[in-house]
Amino acid sequence: MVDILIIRNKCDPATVATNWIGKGLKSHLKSKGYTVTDLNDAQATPANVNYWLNYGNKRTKKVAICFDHGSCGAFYGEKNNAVTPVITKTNAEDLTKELHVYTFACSTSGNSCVGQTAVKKCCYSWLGYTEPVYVILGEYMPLKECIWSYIDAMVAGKTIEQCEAILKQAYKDRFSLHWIFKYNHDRLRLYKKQSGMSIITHNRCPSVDVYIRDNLKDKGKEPSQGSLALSPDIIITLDPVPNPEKKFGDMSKNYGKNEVEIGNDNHIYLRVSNKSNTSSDVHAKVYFAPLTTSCVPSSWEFIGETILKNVPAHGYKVSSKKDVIVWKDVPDPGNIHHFCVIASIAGSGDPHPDTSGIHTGGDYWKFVRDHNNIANLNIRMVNSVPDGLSLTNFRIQGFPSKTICDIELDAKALPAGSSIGIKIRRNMFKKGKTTLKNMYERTSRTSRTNYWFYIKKKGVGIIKNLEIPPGNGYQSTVEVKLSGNAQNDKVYPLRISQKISGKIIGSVTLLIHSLNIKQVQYIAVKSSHLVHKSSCPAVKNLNPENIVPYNSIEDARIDGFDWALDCLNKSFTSKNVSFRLAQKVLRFVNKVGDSKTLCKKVEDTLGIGYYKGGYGKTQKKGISLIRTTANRIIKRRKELGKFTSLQQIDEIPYVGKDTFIDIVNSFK
Amino acid sequence: MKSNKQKKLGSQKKRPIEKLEKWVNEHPKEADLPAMNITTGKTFTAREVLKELKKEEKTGIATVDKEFLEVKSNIKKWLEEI
Ligand SMILES: [Zn+2]
Repeated sequence: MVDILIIRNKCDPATVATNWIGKGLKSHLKSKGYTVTDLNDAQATPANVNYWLNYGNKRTKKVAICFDHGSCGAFYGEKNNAVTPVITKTNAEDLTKELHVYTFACSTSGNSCVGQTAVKKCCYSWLGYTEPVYVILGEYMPLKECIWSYIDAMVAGKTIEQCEAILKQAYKDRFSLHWIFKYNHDRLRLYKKQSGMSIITHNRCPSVDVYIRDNLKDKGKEPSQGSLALSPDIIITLDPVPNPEKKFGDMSKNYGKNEVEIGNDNHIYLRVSNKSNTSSDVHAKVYFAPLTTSCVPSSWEFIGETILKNVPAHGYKVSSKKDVIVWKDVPDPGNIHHFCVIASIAGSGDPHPDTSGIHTGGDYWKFVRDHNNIANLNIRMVNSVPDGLSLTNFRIQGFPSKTICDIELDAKALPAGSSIGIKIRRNMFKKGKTTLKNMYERTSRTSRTNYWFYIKKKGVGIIKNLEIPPGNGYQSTVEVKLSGNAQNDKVYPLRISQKISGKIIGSVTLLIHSLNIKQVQYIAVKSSHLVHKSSCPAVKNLNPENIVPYNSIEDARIDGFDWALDCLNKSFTSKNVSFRLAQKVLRFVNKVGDSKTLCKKVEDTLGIGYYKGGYGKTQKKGISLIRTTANRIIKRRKELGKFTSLQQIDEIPYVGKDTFIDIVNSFK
Repeated sequence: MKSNKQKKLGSQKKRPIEKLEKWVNEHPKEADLPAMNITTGKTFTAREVLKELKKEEKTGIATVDKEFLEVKSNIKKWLEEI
């Protein structure tokens, strides 16, 4: 039994060339986890092709790749070193039923030819050419790469339409190399049974039911119960994990901290489960949207896709090191500094759910609940000391028509004595219509554009009948002042829900991680945007509202805190700098008129103390840049137009590590 | 102005034979690659086609080989796009 059958005879000059196009393909596909039979040269007989393709035995499960002679009536192999038909209009029904066929051969996709006949019967898709094709004699790699592009797209789980578009583009990209690329391109034709198929979802394997969990209690039942915003099966890490199967292997655990670092690469691992009696490959797509009460698909942006091979029957699989989805240079989402991440999965006979009918948050959350192929991560984790204050921005989503909704803050789990407030845009608040339940207005904070409402008594606070104009949505902020009685190392959830007619149409969950100031390693100071060692004198006796506790310096950076110069003045690279500080440095360096001003900025900021701390010498009065170094930076800026990342400055030859560090430190 | 511009564009447009010659000069390796029609087994290189075209132009005598005519017409269509 194999996933893919390759047929490539070799009995005349033309097939010597087509045979070479298939050379190395088997090992290439095996490296991607597929099983393959390669009927090479004399093995490409009618008997062998029938053995591997006949529907009765289903020895080939997904794809037939055919590099050989072709005509309107047949695709050919060889017998006794002579060209011989192997797939014909007569046997196509049996041999290609529920398979995808990809040919590089003449004329099989002409009108009423073998390709169209096969698809009219039960073949899922057939890509061929309407007329004879040209091949280049001699081992010409651009042609081989072009032909392989469709195969690579298929085995990456792309839809057949995407595969076709990729092949067409591969041809177009090579138009200037040789005329045959245009010639073949113009004669390419795809027949398909339906749209949206991939080799993962439509093949000869039994249909399965695969799922990705909405919460730890989710067993794949539709509709699912419980939280929808906290999928434990989407795991985001900053650095790649060497052995994710082991590290994330316990399905009863939630490994996510799931903070996404803006401006850096993040790594996404998935865990998928299979309820069925047979194993299946699973194709997964991951998207992001800004943190909002309702992540409607129109706000999704594609991050990446992967295939988890052979997810076992009644079992599960964790992304391997190879399956990781890298979220490159995570973009700045603006005022809302956090994201929802959405995963959609598909298995054999269990395609990705169709999102086209979703227009409102209500549709969306119902969709997530009703489909076990979709999961969501719509949370934000915040650290806080007891008596500490945290602010989180998110978006209250509106819809194409005017929306009347309630915002509900469920703070039942927070310790007594905590204060929970929410900022609401004044134009959502309609006098006489909007009402408060277990909430009050803090008039001292009311401004021209916003109200601040706070929960009265421990429990749930509701703002009823807020109005959002058609097509609009507003940024909001939730403020939590954690009670002084909060326990150390405990996570307190706060759920913010958007409701229409009593039904939840969207929600954002904040997880407030309480950490005792005496037991953490680092303390960040909000007013200075700097993080200190917790033992540093500079953080003694600060107002708890002005500090954030951390046990990891990376987490502090993700939240926009950089290393303080008094206690953390050590060597670093661009990777260690927060997105916030990086933007500050870049704005200056991109704007500065000449190298002299750049030198002066460093000189004016970094004094003797910095010099002592960083370099341990005392002779000098302070620090300045060497003019030639500053000139190099300005020169590089001219070459690039402008710097878009700190790494570009870090990498300028002869600028040196210390100089880079001095420049960045000047902006702290 | 308008007619001037059109004239300029017109004069910039190269004839196929010149375009092919330019391409052959820029892609010496590809110009010598034999391209085979898998059905007929006929093979031509772009350099050979250029040579034939030049000969035709010089002598006024065109080749009537069916496969060659087809390749010639395909190359002309291709030259319009590159
Ligand atoms: Zn310090």
